[in-house]
Amino acid sequence: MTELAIGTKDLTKTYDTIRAVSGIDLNVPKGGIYGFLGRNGAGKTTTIKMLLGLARPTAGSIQVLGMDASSDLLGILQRTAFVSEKKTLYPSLTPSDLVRFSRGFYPTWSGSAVEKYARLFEIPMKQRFEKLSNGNQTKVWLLLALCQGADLLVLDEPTSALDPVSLDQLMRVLAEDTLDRGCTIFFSSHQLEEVERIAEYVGVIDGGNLLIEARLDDIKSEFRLIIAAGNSLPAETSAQVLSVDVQDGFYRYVVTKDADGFAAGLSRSGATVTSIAPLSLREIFLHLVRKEQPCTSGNAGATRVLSSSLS
Amino acid sequence: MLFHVNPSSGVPIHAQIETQVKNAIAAGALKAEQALPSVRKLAAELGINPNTAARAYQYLERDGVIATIPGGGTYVADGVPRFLKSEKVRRLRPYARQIAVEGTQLRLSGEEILKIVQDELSKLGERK
Amino acid sequence: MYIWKCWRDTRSFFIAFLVVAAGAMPFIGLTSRGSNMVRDVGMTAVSGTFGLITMIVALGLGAIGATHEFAEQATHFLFTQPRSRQYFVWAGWSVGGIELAIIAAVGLLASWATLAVYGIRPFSAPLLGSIQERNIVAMFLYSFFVYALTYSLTAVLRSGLKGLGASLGTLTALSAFAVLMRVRWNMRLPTPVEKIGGLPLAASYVVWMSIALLFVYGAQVAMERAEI
Repeated sequence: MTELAIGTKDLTKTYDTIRAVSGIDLNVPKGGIYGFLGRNGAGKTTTIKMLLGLARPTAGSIQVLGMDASSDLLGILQRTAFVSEKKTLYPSLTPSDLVRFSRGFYPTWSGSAVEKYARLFEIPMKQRFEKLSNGNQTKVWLLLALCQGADLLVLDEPTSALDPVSLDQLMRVLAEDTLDRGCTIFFSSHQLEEVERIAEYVGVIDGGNLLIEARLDDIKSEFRLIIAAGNSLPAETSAQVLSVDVQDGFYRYVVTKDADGFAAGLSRSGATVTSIAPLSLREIFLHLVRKEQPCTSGNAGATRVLSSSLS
Repeated sequence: MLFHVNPSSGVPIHAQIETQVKNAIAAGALKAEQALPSVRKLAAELGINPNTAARAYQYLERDGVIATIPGGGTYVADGVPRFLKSEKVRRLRPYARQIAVEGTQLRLSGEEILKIVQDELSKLGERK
Repeated sequence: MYIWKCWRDTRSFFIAFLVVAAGAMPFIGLTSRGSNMVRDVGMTAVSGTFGLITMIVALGLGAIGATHEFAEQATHFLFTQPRSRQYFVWAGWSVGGIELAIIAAVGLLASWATLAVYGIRPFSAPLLGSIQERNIVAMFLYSFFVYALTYSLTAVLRSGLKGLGASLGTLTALSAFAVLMRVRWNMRLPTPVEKIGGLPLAASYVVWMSIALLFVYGAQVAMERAEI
């Protein structure tokens, strides 16, 4: 089992009667890039807040960079950089002021990185924060995070307000950073195409539950869309069959493993299998979360697909 | 740049790179002992995670398609991958199974499927 | 770095009132030149201006300082920096406290200089000797008390306006309550920073200042327990 940058056990957060996060076990390997995916309100931000000590877990434990979040939060914050979902900062300060403010906290701060990224992202360093566009505000957060020399970057929706050029730049910067400094990057994003580009691991959260957590390559190798024509073909979901869609005699199966075997089984039952196709992350994600029925108990309808150990 | 990947295609990125490298070698676009871009450079050009590029190279090296000189660079291997016949058969079998499955779904006969394979082999032979 | 930011936040207010404090008595002195006003009621004027200025500054700094730290939608940034929330609360409070002290000192200096020009030596007696001098000390401690209260309430309520209102409200309520106790039950309840029961004055001051510090400690606890 590789060393983990983030590890949670049975992490739970309840607000009054709502279970925002339900007993999740996150495993984020060190030095990797991990994409944390989920719809709005699925529990991503709540989980991230708990990692950074902004919210306290109702139950469960959190280990970040080998330190326990309940007893050594400052140690964690010293080596972890954070970009919040809400991109607000002190309105009257300029990015230059904010840099000056931040750098005092981090002995590993890099001034050359400030120049490099300020130039790359074209951040107006002398403009008051409240006057900056959403995109620029996001970039300021990123700047402050990237220059800390952190061992772990926890980024909540770092891509939401970025234009395609900046988005591309950011993804490249993150990929380079992992290579150059061996840091771990844990980020949530709705830009699934970009996540596919650089994430090695993905975790999908929905309704407070972690539906799947695995290497992206493994998911892509295993998940398949099988289209078959026939009558009275099997139409139940199971551990192997994530979803079944029947229309006009055509059955569309999203299968999570051993697609060939499943297709062969269909063929033996007399069906005509017309296609066994791989799926993009977007398609996989949509199929996973569409299965999750909104339900007060929080668990019915969910399929925990894989809990492959990330080694 | 020789390679292009589609991250959304459903095929793992490292697999796409491996396939493209093998195709390039088979087609003669990459010659034996020719240098390949470094992991960093490849990742930067494709806009992907360097670990993915590294993985592709790792698998290619494991398959004997490329070789890394420690401290030096990465090069196309200079000879035939050094495998036992049984190992070669084992490696090719999944692809053969795929052809068999696909062909069967398409309701092609065994002969038709084999002919298609023959055609592809001929084309490769011509290019070399 | 954090101290620098707290200074930046309160800088304008501080400088403005530094000027006011430095200029109040000299201004009064200049405008009443030729009359005997300064000589007759000089010390009263000093007390008056001192009390007013320190009170305004206490309320102002308390509201402004804490607002900039905790009410500007930036706690998710601040509290993820590697310092305890305890540090942020006390550091911010200290900056304002020092600014308050500086303004008070400058005000006194200007007053002393003004009175000295007219031949009155107000602080000639040992400190706390004259009633006016004791008054000045009490007013300073009172302003300090108000500052701590306002700062803490602003931090907890996450709003300068609410903090200000709550602070003034509390002080008014305390006074009203004390009056009520005296009128209804003939009990002398000490209001800040009056002498407490049988304690000597200095000890009473220590108690009141401890209570002020308790306010800040309360704000610290509130911040530590807050979920952002």
